[in-house]
Amino acid sequence: MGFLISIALLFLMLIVSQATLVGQTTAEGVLEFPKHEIRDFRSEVIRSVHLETTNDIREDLRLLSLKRNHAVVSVETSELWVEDRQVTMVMIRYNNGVTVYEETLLV
Amino acid sequence: MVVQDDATLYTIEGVAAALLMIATATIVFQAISIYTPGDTHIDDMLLEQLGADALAVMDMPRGQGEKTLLEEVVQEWRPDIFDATFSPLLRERSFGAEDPIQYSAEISYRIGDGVESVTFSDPPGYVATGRDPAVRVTRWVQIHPGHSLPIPSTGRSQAVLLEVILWRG
Repeated sequence: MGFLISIALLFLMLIVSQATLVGQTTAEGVLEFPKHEIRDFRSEVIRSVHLETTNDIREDLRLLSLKRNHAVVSVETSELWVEDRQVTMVMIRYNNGVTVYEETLLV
Repeated sequence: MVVQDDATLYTIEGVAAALLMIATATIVFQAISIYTPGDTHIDDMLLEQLGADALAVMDMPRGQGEKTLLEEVVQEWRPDIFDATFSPLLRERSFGAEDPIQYSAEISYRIGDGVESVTFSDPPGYVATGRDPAVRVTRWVQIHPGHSLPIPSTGRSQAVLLEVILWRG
């Protein structure tokens, strides 16, 4: 009887020890995702969509991202008419070799 | 006299169960201490998070359509105001002494097809030990003609990258 109980304990212990490892791996994955860079880049693109110097700013963003943040970014915009209202469709692509991110938004 | 082996069986079971329990306890205690020297980058990631949050706080618009504090200090080239705002955000703690986090900030800008950098803020007063791992956080800032940055004027609005290196001193 004691033997069976100790086997049961061993089995439960395996589950418990895995839980810690899984939690740690998940937390690391979350922290390693470059969310600050992506959010910051995204807000900067949205803010610059209607500026006159947009192309120059986009080149600033592209080159500085590549040389300083080691990330390839690309921004494409196109004009659309949605119910008599002109909107800009922006496509953002981000790739730093580990994380690949794509987003399409209407501004 | 009849020899009975029940007691021997009980003893074997007891010993085997004891070994299993000891193995269980060992593995449970090992599972708690998963923080190995290779995991020190978790601290670095926390520091990175803190720095990025501090920059994000400074980069909050003060109102609808208004500029952010970060844009103003870069546009007007005021490292003193940057230091006065940034270092409490990094170092202040709810309880206990200040966190001894050091930093140094520079600004990168594009000129033609090249990238150049200029030092924005480099507070003195730390002792570099040469072995503190540093992390780097960045934030985009848009500057407009008429700025006070010591960089070649382009006559247009441009995006520059504020880079902050953080380490525990």
